[in-house]
Amino acid sequence: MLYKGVLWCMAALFLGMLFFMVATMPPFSPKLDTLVQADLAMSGVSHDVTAVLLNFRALDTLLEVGVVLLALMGIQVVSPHFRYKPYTEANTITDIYIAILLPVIILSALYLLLAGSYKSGGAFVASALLAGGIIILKLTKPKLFVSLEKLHLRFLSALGLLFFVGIGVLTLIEGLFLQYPLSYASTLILMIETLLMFSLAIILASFFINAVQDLE
Amino acid sequence: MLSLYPFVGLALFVLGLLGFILKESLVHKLISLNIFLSGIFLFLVSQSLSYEKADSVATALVLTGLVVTLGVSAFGLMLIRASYGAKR
Repeated sequence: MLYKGVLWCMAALFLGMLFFMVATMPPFSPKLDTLVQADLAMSGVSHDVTAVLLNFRALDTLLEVGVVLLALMGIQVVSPHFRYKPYTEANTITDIYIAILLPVIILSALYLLLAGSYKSGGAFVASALLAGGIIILKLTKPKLFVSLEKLHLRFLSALGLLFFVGIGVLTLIEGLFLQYPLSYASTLILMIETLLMFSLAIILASFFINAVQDLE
Repeated sequence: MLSLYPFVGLALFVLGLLGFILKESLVHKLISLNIFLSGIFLFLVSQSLSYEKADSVATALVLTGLVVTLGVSAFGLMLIRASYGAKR
């Protein structure tokens, strides 16, 4: 009991110290942002966050996709022993619901993907939406993707990262890793984003589906 | 101008850290981890505001962090489930 009291007091002290430090901090000056805004015309897209994510700091995004793929691999190693059967049967309400909802989800995901080049949006938001759609589809129709080959699924979920690395290797011919040539930058970014959206959606949906899939 | 958001982010950070240390259950620990990571993201974005527009590099950093947090949560939940399954 005493130990907890001491810990709470220390936490309160720590919080007070942090508050004081933040309150007396000098005001933020956007040095990096001015650099980004100055070079925005070179990036191939007109939205600054997308330019940072997929052009100026593209290596970070590549490694991030790698981390997500690694998480999926870890889940697939751990999960086979703990699966249970989903409790779903065919139902008119859910069938009509998914028939209306799924086209809207796919359309909005594509819109978000394309909107990423000039305003907030992009591959990650679109893939989250698409993954939600796949999860709803899988929950209402548990038998749907069972016949899909494991190997094909693995290839599809690694496709985005493979394509990204492939582009990186191709850009090594002239210039640095992932330094897109100026005339192709816009097309390359759009292609990478599209493939990333599909494979990330499959990865994110697999996070969930691996837990509720029934063993064949 | 003194905004409320960075302080809320700091409070979330400290509370999440406390929960991460004090709670026994692994699921509680994972939720605390998510709370203090949210605090960090809130602090980063609110601290990099200038002229009512978020800094693009900080926003990209937070976006990357969010996706990595999602991976950590999913993998962590699976590991927790495996560890509880092994204990039973």
